[in-house]
Amino acid sequence: MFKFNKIIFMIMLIMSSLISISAYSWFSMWLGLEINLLTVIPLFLKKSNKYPSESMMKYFFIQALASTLILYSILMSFNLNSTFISKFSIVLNSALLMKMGAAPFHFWFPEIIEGLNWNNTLIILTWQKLAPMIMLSYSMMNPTFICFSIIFSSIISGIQGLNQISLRKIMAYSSINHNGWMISNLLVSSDMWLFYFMIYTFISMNLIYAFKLFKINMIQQLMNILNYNKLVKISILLNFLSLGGLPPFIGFLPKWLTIYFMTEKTFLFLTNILIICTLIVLYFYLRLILSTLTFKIKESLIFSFKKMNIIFLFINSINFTGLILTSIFPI
Amino acid sequence: MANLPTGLISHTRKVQSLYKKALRSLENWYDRREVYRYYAVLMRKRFDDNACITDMRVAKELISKGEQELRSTAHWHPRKFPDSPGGVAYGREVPLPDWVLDYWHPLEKAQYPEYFARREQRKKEFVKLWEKQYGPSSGTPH
Amino acid sequence: MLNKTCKIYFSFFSFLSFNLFLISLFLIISEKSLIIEFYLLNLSNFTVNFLIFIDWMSTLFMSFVLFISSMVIFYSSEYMKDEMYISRFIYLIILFVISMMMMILSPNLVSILLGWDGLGLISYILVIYYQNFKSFNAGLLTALTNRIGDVALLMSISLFLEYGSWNFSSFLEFYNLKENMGLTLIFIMIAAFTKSAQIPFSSWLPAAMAAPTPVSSLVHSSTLVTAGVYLLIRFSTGFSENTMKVILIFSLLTMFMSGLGANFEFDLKKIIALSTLSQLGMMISTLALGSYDLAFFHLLIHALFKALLFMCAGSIIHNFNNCQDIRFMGGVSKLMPLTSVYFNICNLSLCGLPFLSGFYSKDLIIESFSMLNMNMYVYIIFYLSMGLTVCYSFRLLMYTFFMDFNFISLNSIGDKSEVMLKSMGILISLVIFSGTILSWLIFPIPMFIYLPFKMKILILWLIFFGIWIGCETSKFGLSYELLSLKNYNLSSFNSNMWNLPLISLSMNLYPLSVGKKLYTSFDQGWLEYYGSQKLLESFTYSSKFFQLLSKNHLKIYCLISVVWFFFFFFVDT
Repeated sequence: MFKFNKIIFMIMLIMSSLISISAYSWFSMWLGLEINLLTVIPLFLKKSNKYPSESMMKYFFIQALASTLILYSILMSFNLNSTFISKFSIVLNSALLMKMGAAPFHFWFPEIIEGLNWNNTLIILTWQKLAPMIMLSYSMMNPTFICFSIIFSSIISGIQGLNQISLRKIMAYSSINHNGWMISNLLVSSDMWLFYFMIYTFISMNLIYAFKLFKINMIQQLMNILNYNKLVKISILLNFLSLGGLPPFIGFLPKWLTIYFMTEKTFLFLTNILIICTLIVLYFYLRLILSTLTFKIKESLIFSFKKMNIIFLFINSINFTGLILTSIFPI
Repeated sequence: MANLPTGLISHTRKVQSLYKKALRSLENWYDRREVYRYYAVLMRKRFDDNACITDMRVAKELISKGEQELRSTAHWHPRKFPDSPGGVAYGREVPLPDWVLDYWHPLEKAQYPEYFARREQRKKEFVKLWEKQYGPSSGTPH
Repeated sequence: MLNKTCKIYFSFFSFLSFNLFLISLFLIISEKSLIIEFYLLNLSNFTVNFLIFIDWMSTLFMSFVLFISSMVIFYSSEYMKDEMYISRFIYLIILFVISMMMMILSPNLVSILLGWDGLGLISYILVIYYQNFKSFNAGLLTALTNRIGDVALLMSISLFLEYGSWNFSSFLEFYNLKENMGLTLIFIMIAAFTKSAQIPFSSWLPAAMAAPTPVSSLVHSSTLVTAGVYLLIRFSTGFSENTMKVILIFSLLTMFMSGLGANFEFDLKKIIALSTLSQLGMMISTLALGSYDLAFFHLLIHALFKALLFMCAGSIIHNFNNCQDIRFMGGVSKLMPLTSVYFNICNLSLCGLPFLSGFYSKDLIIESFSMLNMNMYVYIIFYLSMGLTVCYSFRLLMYTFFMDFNFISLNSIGDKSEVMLKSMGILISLVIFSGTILSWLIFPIPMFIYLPFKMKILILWLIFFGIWIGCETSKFGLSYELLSLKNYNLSSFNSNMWNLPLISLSMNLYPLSVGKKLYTSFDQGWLEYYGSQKLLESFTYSSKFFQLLSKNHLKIYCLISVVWFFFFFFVDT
C-alpha cells in the first residue's frame, strides 16, 4: 500500500534539517531539530511487530532530553552573557553529540537501530547526523572536549563492534567510528566534512540497499546471498572495504584527505588514534567479508533469484573507480 | 647419515679401498698417463712390500698412516667424469619420477586409455608381488 | 631447427644494438649527452624523479651488451637445443638484458637498485638453471653475496635522502666536500665490489660457473660483473683519495690472487672465470688510479673477447660431452680447428698481442700506469698480474689444444655445430677489429706517452716470461718432480682463492645462530606473547566488558548523562 503520509513526513524531515542548518538564530536551529524529531518518529512506525515502536519510544526520549538541554543551554548562556560561555558550550556540545550518537553518549544508538528496518537505519545513520553536526561546527568552543569525544568514538566503536553478529549493530558501530572521523573533520575544515559525509552516505546507501534487497539481518545470512552471481556478491562486499578506507576504493579518499588536513594542522596524536582504531574496525569488516567469500558452504536450496538494480550496480561501480577517476580528473 | 658405519669392514677390504683411493689420488696429481702409470707402479710396490705382514698391530698402524697420507695429499679439484657423482654435470637433468603420471588429470589420462589401463594392471600386480614378499601392508593407503 | 624465440630476439637485439651504436657515434661526434627527466614526486625538500641519461658511454655499453646477448641467444639456440625449457632460458636472458638496460641508462640510485636487484635475481635463477646440487650451492652463494651489495646500495639510498635527490650524477663534485658523504660512497664501493667480485666477495664468480655456458658467456663474464665497474665509473668523480686507495689495493689484490689461482685451476670454465676476475681487478685498479675512460675502454673490449672465449669453451665442453676438466682434454686443435682458432685469438687478445683488440686497451692502461707516480708495491703487483695473465692463458692453451689427446676413445669431437660457429664467427671479427675502432672513437686525440726504454720494454719481458712459465708449467714428464704436490699447502692455498670461499661460507654461522636465538626468544617468545596474543586477549576482554556495560537499562544511561549536564550547571567555571 502506498503511504501518502510517509511522503509528507519525509519531506518534512528533509525540510526541518535544512531549516536547522540554514537558520540564523540558535532558537530556530532548535526549532528545526524539534520538527526533525517529530517527523522522523512516525516514519519508524510499522504495524507488523513491536520493535519499531520500542525504538520510537527510546529515540523520542533521548532526543527530547538532548533538545531540552540544547534549549536550556541556549537560553542560559544568552541570558547571562549574550554570547556562549565555555561551560554552556560544553553542555550544548554534549547534547549535540548525544543527538548524533557520538561516543560517550552513544549508548542508545545501537539499541535503537536494532529495532528499525533498513530504510530507517539509513536515515538515522546518515541524514539525522546532518543537523547536529552543522550545529556542532557552529558552537565548538572547547576542542579538547571534542577531541575526547573523537577518541572515545573511535576506541569504543572498534572494540564493541568486534563482538556483534547483527549487521545493524555492526553498521551502527561503524557509524560511530565514522562519527569520530567526521567530527575531527569539523575541527579542521568544514568542506572536508561535507566531502566525508557525502562519501560515507553513499557507501552506506550501497550496503544498506543490498541488505534490504536480500533481507539480511545477521552476518551468517551474508553467506547465503547471491551465490548465483559471485561477481556481484564480491562487488557488494567490497563496499565494506571502502567503508573501512582501503586504497583502491572511494572510501580511502576522504580518510586520506582528512589525515592530510589534520596532520597539516598538527593533530598528530588524534590522527594516530583514529587510524589505529579504524584498523580494528577494518578488521571486523574483513572478518565479515573473508568468511563470506571464502567459506565453502552448501549453497542454499531456497533459491531466491533477485536481480540487482542496474542503477545500484552503476553506483556501486563508482565505489571501485571513484578514487582513480578523481585522481585522473581532479575536481 | 651415510657416514655411519653399518657393518664391520674387514682388514682386507680396508687395504683394498685405500689402494684404490691412492690410485685415484695419483690420477688427480699426475695427469699424463705414462707418468701416472709409473707412480701407480711405485704405489703398488709400497703396498706389496707390506703385503705379508701378519702382525695385526703393525698392519693397522700402517693403514692409518696410509689414510693420513691420503688425506694430507688430497687434490683440491679431483678428476671426475662429468656424469659421475661429484662431477660437474651430475644430476643435471632431472628425470620425472614415475608417480607424476598418477597425478594427471583424468581428462589427460583419457588421452592414453590403453597405457593407463595397463598401468593400473601393473600397479595391482606390483602390490600383489610386494605383499607376497613383505607381508600385507599395515598402513592405510593414502 | 632454430628455436623461434631465439630467432626473434636474436634479430631484435642485433638490430637494436646496431642502432644504438649509431646513436653513440652521433653522440661522440657531436659531443652531446641527453638527459630525460620524469618528475614524479616532491617530498618536502626531496625530489623523486626518474632519470634517463643518454651519453656516448651508456649507448655504447648498451649496444655492446645487446650485441653480445643477441649472439649468445643465437648461440644457445644450438647449445641448449635439447633442453626442455629453452624458451624459459631465453626469456631469462631477455629479462637480464632489460635489467641491465635499467642499470645502464639511469644514473638514479633507485632505478639502479631496480636493475641491480634484477641482475642479482636473474643471475641466481640462471645459475640454478641446471637442477643439480652444485648449481644450488653455487646459486645460493651468488645470490647471498650479491645481496650484500643490494643491502649496501639500499643503505646508500637511504643516506642519499639527505642530499635532496637520488640522481647522484648532478652533484658528484660536492661529495668530497661533505664529511658523511664518504660513508655513502663506501657503501657504493661495497655494492660494486660484490657485483664485480672483488676480494672479500670474489668467491661467487668461479662458483657461478655451474650455470650453462651461454650464461657464463653473457652474464658472468661480459655484462653482469662489469655492472659494478660501470657503477664505479659513474661515481668515479666523487670518490675521495683515501677511498680510491682502498679500492686500488683491493682490486690489485684481486687481480693478483685470481691470476695466481687460475694457474692452479683445472676446470676450463673456472680458469676463464678467474681470468675475468683478474681483468675486472685490472679495470677497477685503472679506475682507482684515475683514468675512468681507459677502464671503460677495457671493459668494452674485455666484454667482447671474454664472451667469445666462453662461447668457444662452451663449444669445446659441448663436444667433450659436458666434461670441463682440462686434464681430460688435449689435442683439441687437431679435432676442432676453427674453434681453436677463435679461442686462441681471444686468448692472445686477452694477453694483449699487438694489434688484436686487447692490445689497444691493455697497452694504453699499462703505459699510462707506468707514467704515474706509484709506489713499488703497486707497480710490482700490477706487472706481475700482467705476467700471470699470459702465464695461465698459455698453460690453458697447452693443456687444451696442444698436448696429447686425453679423453675417452669413444667420442664425437669436431667442428660440426654450425650455429655455434656462426655466432662465434660474427663475434670474432669484432674481437679482432673493435680495439682499433674503439680507440679511434673514444680517444680522438692519441695519448702522449713518454717512458724510458726499459720501462717501455718491461711489459714485453714479462709477457715473454709469462709465456715461458705457462708452457713450462704444463709440461710434465717421468723424471720431473711434481712441485705443486711438494708444496702442497701453498698450492692448495692459491688454488682455493686464498680461502675466500671458506670465509664467505663460514660467515653465515654467526648470524644464523643469532637469528635462531632471536627467533625463538622474540618472534616466537616475548613478541608473540605481548604482541599478537596479548592484543587478542585484551580485545576479547574489553569487548566482553563493554558488552556487559551495554546491557544496562536505558534509564541508567539517561540518568548518567543528566548527572553530567547538571555537573556543568552547578559548577562555576
